[in-house]
Amino acid sequence: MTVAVEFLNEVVFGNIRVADLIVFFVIISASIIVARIIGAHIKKSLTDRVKKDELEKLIRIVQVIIVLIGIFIGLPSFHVDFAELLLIGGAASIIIGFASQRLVTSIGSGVFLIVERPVTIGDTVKIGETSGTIEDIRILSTTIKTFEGIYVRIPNETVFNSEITNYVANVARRFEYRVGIRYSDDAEKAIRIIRELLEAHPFVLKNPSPSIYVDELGVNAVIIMVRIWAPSREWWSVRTEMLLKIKTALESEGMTIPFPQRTVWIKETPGSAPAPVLHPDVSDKHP
Amino acid sequence: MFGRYEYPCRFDEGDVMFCIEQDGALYRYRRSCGESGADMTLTLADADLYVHPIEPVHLPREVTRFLEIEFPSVTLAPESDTTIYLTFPLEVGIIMGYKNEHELLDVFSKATPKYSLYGTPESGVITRYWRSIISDRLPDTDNGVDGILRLRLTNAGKSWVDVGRVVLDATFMPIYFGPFVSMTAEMLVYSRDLAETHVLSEPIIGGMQEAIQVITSSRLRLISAEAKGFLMEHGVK
Repeated sequence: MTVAVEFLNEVVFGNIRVADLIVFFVIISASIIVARIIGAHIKKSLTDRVKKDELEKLIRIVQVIIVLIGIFIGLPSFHVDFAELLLIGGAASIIIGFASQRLVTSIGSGVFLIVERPVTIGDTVKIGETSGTIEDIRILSTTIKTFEGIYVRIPNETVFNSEITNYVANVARRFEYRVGIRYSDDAEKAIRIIRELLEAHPFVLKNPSPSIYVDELGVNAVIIMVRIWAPSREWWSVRTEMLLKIKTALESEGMTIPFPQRTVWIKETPGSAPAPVLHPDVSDKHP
Repeated sequence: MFGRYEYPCRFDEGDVMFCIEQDGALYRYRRSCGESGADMTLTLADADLYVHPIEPVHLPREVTRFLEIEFPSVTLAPESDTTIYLTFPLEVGIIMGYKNEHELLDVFSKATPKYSLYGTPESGVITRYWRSIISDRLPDTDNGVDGILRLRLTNAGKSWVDVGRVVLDATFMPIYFGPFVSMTAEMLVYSRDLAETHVLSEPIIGGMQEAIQVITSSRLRLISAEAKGFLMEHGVK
């Protein structure tokens, strides 16, 4: 017994005894065990939400923080002067804090993005001035493939502070066309033709039903408004397909999209020379 | 049309034609149905070929797993139940089977696909839409276009309710085939805004064969979708 006490009190280095070393290593071991348990819990809860490599980084950061706390708790056994340590630590924290301010903000924003999920991978979005499809959401940044196929990496801090428009957050969305026909065309017939086309398209939703009406008696045309609801993930293909179909169908029924035109009335006063008759210049015709 | 096929084979009836022809060590699959068609080269090995009715949510592209059937409304007395017969759209699946694994090779249908929104854009779901007749007995159907849905309606509430639509989850959708194609479902109506639907593993008549469930077999084998059903929170009319 005496031998054991003597061993524990044996000075290893400076005023550090064996007992101090044992206490320190017990505290560190306990903090490592706690860090592993918490790491396992994080892994279980976030596996579905965060990518594997990102999750591992996050777990590693949390575990390092826990072990650092363990070291901080264990340090008194080495008779460390806390006032001095706090002074040094405080100064170091300020320097590190300033240096890594944006990094920490981005990590915090990344965590909020993962938890709040205003956007998910595959969504079509507009973040700030950048539009495209979300390719990846990482702890530090979000990557977008623009519609031109360009890779754009946006720091999460910017994503978090920007206006986010998620075009596919709702399952359906509406778009519209303004179709102009001549005043001499039958607007009711045009509406009927457009309605039949829309009814035949699978992704023009039955409910809410499309809305087609004469919206404006314009300078050069009668404007027919066509409002269509489509599944959010299909709306662009529907939009591009239907406009051409509407144009083709109306033209096949003899209705054309009018060009801007103006009717000029020339008043002839008695005794004046008749207005010259203008003939089109055949040389201006295209081959 | 439905069943297991030995290949090379050929089916040609009306405007539906599909065939598998041997081309050396390879096989060539060709199909036409109305204006649509398919042509592909296969290495079949010892795979089985099935032609089965499948969950009608695949055409023209899979955008939802919900089937919505609208029908002339039925008024249900409080705490009463009744059985009605509706129709549902048919989609025909060409399925390759190998060692209990099933792969959907091709889908076609003579029914015109149409989609709808059940509920609001924020909280609703996109549905494959079908307008059905209503009948108190087995209606006549075209085996290439539509099947028969037997729907057991139960009004669990204490007020009269008009029911004019049902939304079914295709995640668990046992379809049976025989003289006709059929499906059975139940709808528990709690109020005019709330109902619960389940598709049941019940053929309408004896001797019908259960079709391969493509969605269940390929993706969600481990999830008990049968118990889950679908909660209609946006009205039943």
